[in-house]
Amino acid sequence: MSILEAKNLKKIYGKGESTVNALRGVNLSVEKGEFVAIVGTSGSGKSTLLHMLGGLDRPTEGEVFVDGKNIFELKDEALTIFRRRKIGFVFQAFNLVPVLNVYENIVLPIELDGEKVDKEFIDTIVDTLGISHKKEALPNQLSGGQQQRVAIARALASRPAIILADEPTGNLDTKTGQDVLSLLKVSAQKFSQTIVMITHNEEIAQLADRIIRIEDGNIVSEKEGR
Amino acid sequence: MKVNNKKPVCRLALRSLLANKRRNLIAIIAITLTAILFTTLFTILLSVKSSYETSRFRELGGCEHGTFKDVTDEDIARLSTDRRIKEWGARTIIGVDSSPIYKKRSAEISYMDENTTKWSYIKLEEGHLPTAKNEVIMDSEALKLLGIEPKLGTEVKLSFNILGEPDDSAIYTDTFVLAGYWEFDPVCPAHFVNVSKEYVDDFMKIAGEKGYGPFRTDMNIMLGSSADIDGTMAEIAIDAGYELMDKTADNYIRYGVNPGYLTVDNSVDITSMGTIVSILAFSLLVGFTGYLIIYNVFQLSVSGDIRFYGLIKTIGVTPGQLKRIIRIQALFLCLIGIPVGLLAGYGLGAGLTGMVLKTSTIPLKSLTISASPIIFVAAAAFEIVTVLLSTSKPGRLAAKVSPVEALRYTEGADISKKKKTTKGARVTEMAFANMGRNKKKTILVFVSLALALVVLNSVNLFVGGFDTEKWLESKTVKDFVVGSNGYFKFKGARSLYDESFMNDIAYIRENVNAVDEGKGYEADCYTRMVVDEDTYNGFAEKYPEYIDSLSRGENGEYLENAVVEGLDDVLIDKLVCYEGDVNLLKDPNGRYVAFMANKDEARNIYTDPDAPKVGEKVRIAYADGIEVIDTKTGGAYVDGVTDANDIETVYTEIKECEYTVAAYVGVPYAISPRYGSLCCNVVISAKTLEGDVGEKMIPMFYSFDTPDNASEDAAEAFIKAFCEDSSSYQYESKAVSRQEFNDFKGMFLILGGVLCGIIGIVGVLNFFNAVMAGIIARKNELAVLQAIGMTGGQVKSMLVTEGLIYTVGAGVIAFALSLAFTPVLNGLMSNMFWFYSGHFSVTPVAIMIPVFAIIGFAVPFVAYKGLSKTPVVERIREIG
Repeated sequence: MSILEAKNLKKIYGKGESTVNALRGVNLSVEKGEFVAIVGTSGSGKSTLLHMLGGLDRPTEGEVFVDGKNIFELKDEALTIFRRRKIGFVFQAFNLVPVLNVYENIVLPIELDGEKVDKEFIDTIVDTLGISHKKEALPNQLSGGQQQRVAIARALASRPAIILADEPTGNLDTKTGQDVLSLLKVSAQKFSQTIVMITHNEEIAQLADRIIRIEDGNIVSEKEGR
Repeated sequence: MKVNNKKPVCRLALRSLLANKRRNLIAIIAITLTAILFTTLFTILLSVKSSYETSRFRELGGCEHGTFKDVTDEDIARLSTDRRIKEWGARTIIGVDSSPIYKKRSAEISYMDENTTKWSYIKLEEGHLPTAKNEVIMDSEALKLLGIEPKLGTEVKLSFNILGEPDDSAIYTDTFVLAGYWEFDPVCPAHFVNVSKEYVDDFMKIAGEKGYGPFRTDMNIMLGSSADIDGTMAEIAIDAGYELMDKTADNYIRYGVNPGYLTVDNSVDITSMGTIVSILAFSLLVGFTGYLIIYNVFQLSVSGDIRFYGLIKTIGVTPGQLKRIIRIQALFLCLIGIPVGLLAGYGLGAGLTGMVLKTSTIPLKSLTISASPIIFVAAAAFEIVTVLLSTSKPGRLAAKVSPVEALRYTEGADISKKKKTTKGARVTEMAFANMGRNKKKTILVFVSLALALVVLNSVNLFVGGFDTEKWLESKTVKDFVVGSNGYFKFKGARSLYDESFMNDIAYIRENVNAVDEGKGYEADCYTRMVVDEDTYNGFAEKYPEYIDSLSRGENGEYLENAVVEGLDDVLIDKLVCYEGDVNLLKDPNGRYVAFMANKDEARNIYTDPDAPKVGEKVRIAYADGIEVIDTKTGGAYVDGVTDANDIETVYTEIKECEYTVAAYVGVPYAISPRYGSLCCNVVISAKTLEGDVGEKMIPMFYSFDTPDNASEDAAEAFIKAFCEDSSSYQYESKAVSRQEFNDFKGMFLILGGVLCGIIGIVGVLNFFNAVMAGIIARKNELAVLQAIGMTGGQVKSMLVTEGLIYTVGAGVIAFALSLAFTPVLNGLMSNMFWFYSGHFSVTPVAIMIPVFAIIGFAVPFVAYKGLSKTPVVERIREIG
């Protein structure tokens, strides 16, 4: 059974003459526990696709099903709540809340949901990612690699079914990037989560189970990873 | 599903709030300023109201809520246990001294306990309340009349009539020791002469044995609030087992409500329509000003923080939670701003109340700063509403933000219009282009800057248009008007009349250089107009609320109240004739009267269709006697027996005089009787009046002019001293009126100045905020511009150009608006205020433009200096 499914997704930016067809009818299906990499050049529409999959932006046409639920049927408020329970995001720019410390950043989505924080589980994640000694630090006191690991911890914290990662290694050097990604993959397996990752780095993409290539808003090829 | 997520939302709200110090400071200043305005407004309003009440209470002799009358010690013990009575005080009167020295107001010999003393506005200058048996305290004027120096320990010999025994046989004399005295309050109805409780108890015992008495003890009470005193007192009495209706019952008790709490005077009634409208209008202006800045601060900070909002949205903050974050931040800022504003506003309001009072009829001595919690509750509520309104739109904007776009957001990113230009990017062009990025923001800054200037100009125009000479011309007919207290208190000359007035006028004449003198007179008897039965009944039907002014004569005549003012010929010349011939009044053998009409009724001078026309005859009745009868029995009215509905007043010893209506005239206020009846206010020649009533004619006022400035100043000094010396007289003069008018102008100038100042601060704050926010939001962009070759100087001059466009532009807009609206405003004001002279001035705006230019230059200059301390490379790297 597929955990994530996109049907005929289209997205047009702008109006009138100067429109951009970012997505031209994408169909995609991801199985539970799978690690999928989406690759493409800049402007190919890969980020747009990821935003649609995560419900961050609404498509011009088409549907996205997460765990069998058509997410664009939901209103903004409900969509946000659905998203923070089902989907974890990791961004290129880390997107940590600068005024909160590492621990607070990690548990924020759980607390926003009014849930009780499972401290043991968080400790396990933090340990796995090797940032347990930085729990009290503020984001600007961390290196890029550390910040991205915090972002990954945050994405994992609410045990989402799916993790969507937008160029998670883009702001990191090659070595750190590979370390971080291995960590992401290991943790996802450990907590049995599905990963959809965007990258323009072929080498990084090779770590995935499946590589999907996108160009001009269309999926042009699919192949198995290593 | 309700989830408990208060904690993280609050944490996010407060942490990000603390990270934004500049915005907080500006927002807190804005909230504080608005709160100051609201609090000042409410403080002045309620203080004027309480000052008015104080002046009423001083006239009535006390500020207690009500009084249970003629009570025994047991009654007091029983009533005082009631929880609704917050405080109580007792007073026992044993005698009254009405000897000739106390002819203006009698002296009441009584015992007052501490509370009653306090409520009677007795504040001892020196000494203590009487405790030893022979101790006494009294006011300075009473002492002066007795010829006793106000020195503690002095012997005071008092002779007084035992209460209820007016005969000379019941005069009691005793010697006391002065234990204290207080400054006399000229509006107090009686001289209070207070002795000790021990003395009163002994006195009542001895006098009782001689068959005098019973003496009367009243219990004054204060309730929790002044709402429904009547009802509460009745309930207290009934709950304590008293009877209120049946006067013959053993447990019957009488009570009275202090009339000071009942009377509603339109001049200070804050529930009257006009007052409510002006309060609302002012509140709206204040609210709008506050809205403008608070909205602006939050709007700008939302666009500055939009990346942050997008970010936390991607993590899972819902739109509703986002709005809550902004609301929590706003309320948190209120927590700091409002208390400061309330305190400062209360102080400012307290200070300004005195100035407002100066221009009213309330004496400054009654200044009472209200400490009502309503001031603070209302001001805080208005402020919170303003803040919530101002933040709701920025909140919605933040909530609407698409997280994806927010992450990419730059201000004004969707520029749809692309101009073709071959000039390249020049600094000034870039500055203009930058202002076009966020049109709303630019307009907001323009509006708030220009508003301050326009209001400033309007206030200047408004106050400058108050024409002192126009005011004086109309308000003062003569240089000086000296009259009795009753005359100036709108009660006519008969009340509070001092018999030595004629002698005192002679005394004044000896001491001033008076020319063109003239006096106004009144007859010291009841003046009524005789009407026929139809008019009488028609009148009763038309004006049921004035039924009291209708009465009957002893021979069955139908009478209605009339005011008859006798004027010397020199003053008759000052009347404005609307119809007929006013000069007929001066005919020594003529029998004429002129009816008074209001100026604005010039076109329709007959106030009532039944009023006599010019040429018709009217009959005025001068009655000496009055009888109050019971219409059921036909006999005299009996207190406590006659039903209120059966009481009727009948006038006796009537002398009727017939006159012809010569004219309808306007009487200048300065020489008018200052009180009136509904339909019959007439002017008559003093000679005619004297012929008809003889010695009963008494002067209301004495007026005169002075030939030159020197004698005017001398007369002013003399009359001022004379009136201060004698508590019977007051005066009006051109100098005093000028001073009053200038005070009035000054009040507007200061109130307007405060308003301008605050709007000005708000405008500059807005500007400062806009410049700072613009620079900070474009930090990366500016760094990039520098990296690609724009020099620091060029960046600076671009920013300064932007600043100058804002401020100088706003100045020019304000200048244009002021030019355009001056004629409109002049027209409006001339219609509203007859003493307004239209004039033209845009000087304040012209003066302020260079000031604004300096601000427009300095703010971006300084802001950039701060920014340029951080190296370019670092700025480029910084994100959001």
